[in-house]
Amino acid sequence: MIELNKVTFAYPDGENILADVGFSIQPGERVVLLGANGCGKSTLLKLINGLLTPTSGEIRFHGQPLTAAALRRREFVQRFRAEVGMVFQQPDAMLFNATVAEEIAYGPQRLDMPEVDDLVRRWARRMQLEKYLDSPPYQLSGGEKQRLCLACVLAVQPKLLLLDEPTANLDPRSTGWLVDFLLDQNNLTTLVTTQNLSLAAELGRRAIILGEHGTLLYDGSLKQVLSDTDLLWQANLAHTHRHRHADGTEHRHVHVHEDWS
Amino acid sequence: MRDRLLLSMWMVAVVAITFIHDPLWLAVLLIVVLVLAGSDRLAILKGALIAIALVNVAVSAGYAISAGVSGEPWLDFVVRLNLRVLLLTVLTLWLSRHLDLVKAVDFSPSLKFVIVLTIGQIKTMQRLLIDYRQAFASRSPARPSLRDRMASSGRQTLALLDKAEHQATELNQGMRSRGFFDDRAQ
Amino acid sequence: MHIPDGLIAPQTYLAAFAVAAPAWAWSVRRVARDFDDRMIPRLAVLTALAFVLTTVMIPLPGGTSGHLVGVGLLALAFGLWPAFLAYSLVLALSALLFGAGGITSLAINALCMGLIGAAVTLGIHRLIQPWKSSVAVVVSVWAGVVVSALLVALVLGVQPLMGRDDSGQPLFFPFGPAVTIPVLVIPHALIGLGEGLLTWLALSALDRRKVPA
Repeated sequence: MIELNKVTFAYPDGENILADVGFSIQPGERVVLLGANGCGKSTLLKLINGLLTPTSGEIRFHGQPLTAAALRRREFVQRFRAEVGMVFQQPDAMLFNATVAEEIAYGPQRLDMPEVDDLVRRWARRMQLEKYLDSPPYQLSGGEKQRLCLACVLAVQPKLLLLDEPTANLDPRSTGWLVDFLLDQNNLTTLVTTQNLSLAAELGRRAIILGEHGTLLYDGSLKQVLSDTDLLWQANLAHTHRHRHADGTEHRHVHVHEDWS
Repeated sequence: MRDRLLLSMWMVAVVAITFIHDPLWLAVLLIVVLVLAGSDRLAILKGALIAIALVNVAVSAGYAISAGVSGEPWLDFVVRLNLRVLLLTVLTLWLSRHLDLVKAVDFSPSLKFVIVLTIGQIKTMQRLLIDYRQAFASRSPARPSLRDRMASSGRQTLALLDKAEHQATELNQGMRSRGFFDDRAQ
Repeated sequence: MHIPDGLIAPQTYLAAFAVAAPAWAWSVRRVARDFDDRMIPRLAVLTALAFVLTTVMIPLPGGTSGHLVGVGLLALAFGLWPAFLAYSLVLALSALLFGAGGITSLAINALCMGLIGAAVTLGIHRLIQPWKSSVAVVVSVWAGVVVSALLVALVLGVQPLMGRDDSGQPLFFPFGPAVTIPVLVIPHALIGLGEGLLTWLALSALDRRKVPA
């Protein structure tokens, strides 16, 4: 579905944010993209969403190169935008319509989907946003905005969903709801970025880990990597701290984040 | 449609009022507007009086004193100026409470998007500014010096510029991601 | 230094709209061309920025403060036409959303501050760019604020000529330029200094980073 081949990305006059990253995602896969703050996770999602163009290397979508030129072809870009949906870490970035109803209807209308009104009501109900249908999106709370973004993107029925730190702005109850919701979506390929290992364990079977300097550190079974403390340490996904014992002695050990509630 | 009509009527009314110079007419219109304003008339009147107080008191008092000293009449002017400014301010405040601006401009999709986005961005930036101000207050145990206040305002300004830079890029990508610019594709 | 509604004669403000209309049309064209398909998000962010900048305090001696106009900063960071357009939108939104400021005087305010004030800042900044950058920014922003205040004072100052009633009392703003110029220009000579310093503080920290808003 999506293939990355030696993808490198840097802003002009900047250091590499991603270096030589390569992997592919098959339909139906549940992938989590792990890495510490600033390792290039969001940049990678934006590259896959066609919002940034690699400095070198290539991204393919169903075998076709995802280039700026391809994205200027209407036929290609419409198919791409319909199939690949992304929810930004900051929901404000994606909300630009006057009401919640118009916001959800925006994508389906542009794709000439039938019965848009029904669709809007259905998604609003699923996301518990029914009472806000006529309100402007900027009046919603952070969690509600996040759910609205999900509704907007999922109403288009994408095949691949890119989620950038989806729980960063959520309280524990909403986080639990989101996990359940994503697990219920059959037929949806997901790529979720997070630095929260136990959330990752809920959401994916395959892990891709980015290290410092934006290199690919690991691509494989999530289960396996969760027990590999050295690798997690290297990726800055584990921390050390002192343990004090009752007899007054101390020792330092590597610790993996477990709780996410 | 209702909002577009409201907006047009208000514009005509505001311009027309600046052609009326008889204090009696201005007073009658002010009463009519306040009667029609409904239950929030007192709040609107209060808001308008606060908004115009400084300039109007200064101009009225200044003129009354200078005309009074030279023995010229001044009452008509003071009544006229204050009634007109008050009437216009009441009308504008009333409109801002009842107009759905986004609906009023839906004849132009671009303008509508600009306004919706601007309102949302204003809220985001205002929150940022409030945070900076509160943090400054929280860290200033004693009355801050002029220099510190200038530095704090400078940081607020810079933070707003940075936020604008970041938001413009994010918003552009968010809209692109949802296919906003695809109509331009060939 | 905004002029509120009710002080200005129709002859004056309608003429100002006649002058401002082509300027707005031109600025929309320029901004649409320069921002390309990013016009909507960029203009929205810029307008929000212009709006919120006007709520930043300029500290003044004695614990008092004024408010930033922000036009000089916008013009130096983003150029004349985006600054003028964003500032004009701010004036319209203030009236329509919050009932603040004037609508009849909108064109006068937009021209005096958003267009001429910004143009003076940019022009002087270009002339004295070789100077130390702090001095160039402070002087050019100060000049923009003072020229704006002078223009506003002149517009107000001609209002006594716009009509009197039978008893000789003025129909609109009553004081001539001999009063308005010192009353507006002298305090703004001080506020402009604060505005210039703030603008320099913000721009120098931005360094030469490009701001793609």
